[in-house]
Amino acid sequence: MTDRLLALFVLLLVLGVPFGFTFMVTSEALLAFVFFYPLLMSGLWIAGGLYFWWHWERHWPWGNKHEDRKVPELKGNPLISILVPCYNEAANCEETLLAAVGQRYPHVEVIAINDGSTDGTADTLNRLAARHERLRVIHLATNQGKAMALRMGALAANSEYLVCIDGDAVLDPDAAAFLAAPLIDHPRVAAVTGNPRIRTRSTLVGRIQVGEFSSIIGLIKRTQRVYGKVFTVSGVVAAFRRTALDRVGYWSLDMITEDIDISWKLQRDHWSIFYEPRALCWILMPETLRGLWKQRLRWAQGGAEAFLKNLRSILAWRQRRLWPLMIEFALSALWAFAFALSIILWGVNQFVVLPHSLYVQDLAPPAFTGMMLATVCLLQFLVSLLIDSRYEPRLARSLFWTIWYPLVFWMISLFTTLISLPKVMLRRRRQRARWTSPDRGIKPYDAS
Amino acid sequence: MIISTSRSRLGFLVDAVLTIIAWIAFIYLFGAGIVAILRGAAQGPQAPLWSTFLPTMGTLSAYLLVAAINAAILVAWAIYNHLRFAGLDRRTSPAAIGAAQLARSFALDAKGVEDINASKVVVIHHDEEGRIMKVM
Repeated sequence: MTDRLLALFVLLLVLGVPFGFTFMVTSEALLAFVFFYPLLMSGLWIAGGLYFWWHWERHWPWGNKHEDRKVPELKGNPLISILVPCYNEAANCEETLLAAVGQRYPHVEVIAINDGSTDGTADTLNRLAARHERLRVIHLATNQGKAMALRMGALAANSEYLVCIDGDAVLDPDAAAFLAAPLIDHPRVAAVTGNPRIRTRSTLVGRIQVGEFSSIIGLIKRTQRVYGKVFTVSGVVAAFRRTALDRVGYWSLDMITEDIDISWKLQRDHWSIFYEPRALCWILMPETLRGLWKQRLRWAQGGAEAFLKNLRSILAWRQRRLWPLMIEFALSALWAFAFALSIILWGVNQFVVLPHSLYVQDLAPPAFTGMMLATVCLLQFLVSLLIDSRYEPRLARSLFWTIWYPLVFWMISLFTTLISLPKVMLRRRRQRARWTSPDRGIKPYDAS
Repeated sequence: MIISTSRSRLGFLVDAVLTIIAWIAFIYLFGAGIVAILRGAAQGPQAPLWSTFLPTMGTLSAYLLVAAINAAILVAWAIYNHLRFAGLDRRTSPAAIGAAQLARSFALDAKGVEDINASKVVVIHHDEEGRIMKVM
């Protein structure tokens, strides 16, 4: 009951604060927040990304060839378990599993968890298991959701170090070693999040995400690592210490995004999370607007669920280092509602004369602010090119297409927040989360 | 590793045209900023061009100052943590959990855990609540 009241209070707050702010100050102040908040965050991400690169990344030997990389030697050569939950992945899982069993680090077991798939996944997994000694298979009799599939993988694993990837993700041959090294070297580290690189680049939607993953997600991860707390590991590629997972009760079954939830659970238990950009993992992403929307709405809903679930427990002084992550999430939500309010006020102004403080003359950014926004976005992409192109030398080719990414990122953030936040805050109770897969790239065009 | 699925010529053309429009909008935003500054200068008293940019430089400096303060806070915090916690790991490496703890966490008996751990291919049945009912 308290949680539901709290959820209602949060919703009223994000709805009421922009309106009250405008009424008390002016619509100009509201618009200033709408235009300057992305600018402020962009500056912070650039600074965080550059510091991460300057402090750590530039010292790491790296090249396209294996010989040019300094792959960590793991103390004691421990076994690493790679967990691969698969739900209806007949089309992709073979490539994923072959990359996993083909890791250069010799002590690896791969556990594929077939979560009650209804396509040919089960047959493919059995066939591969018969052929590859490193591969083991768990079939869940009925579909249980990704969190349960990961739990069963953790139960079956013979290692303390679990590398978890999606059933359509392809690991770089050294990724498992890079992910496990911080867990072995640093006792406080419970999870290491890897560096997902996008494979699907056939449409504008696919290509925009290449820029987004480098310029926004990559820089955010580096900035959060510099700060010391990470909002979320990448669900598609992350490694975990099983003891830490056991302490926090493993992945929750009722959270729509199990990756955000487990990150918060571990950090609330005072474990650290590292970001390892050298742990490359090639992933499939949606290539249609519909698929992208579906995926991002799920992410936004997951963020709102994590915010609500953790709000009360992190108020304790001991959790103070997590507060900035919460504040950033709250400011992003407020930004979305402030933007929506300015659009509404502008629309109403076309028909009704509103008091001066609520008068919104123009929705386009003032000329000088627009120039600043454009420049900072370009600067952000150039910084990410400087940092990220070592992992993908042809990244600069994306420059032409990625001009869209700042607009698309902030607009998707805006609309997904507007929908997901009320949905989560007004929901009666959480239910068991099941699989929802967006499209993983378009089908070839048949010219005949 | 990159997947470029073949598409219709029209689809590619639409993407290219949309992207060119976005670049034009970007250049417009940038150009409009410069034009606004110059126009403001043209309406004012005659003065050398550099002095017309002075107020703009003032605003720019304010933005840069805010960005620099943010960056300084973040970096100072990172350095403080490096210095304070360097070589200080109060947590020793935790012992890896064994079959007994796994059995407790997953409400199984020790033999059930061992069977799953030793299996090559296994089928697990759950009940409605997500508890393990049967391992085959």
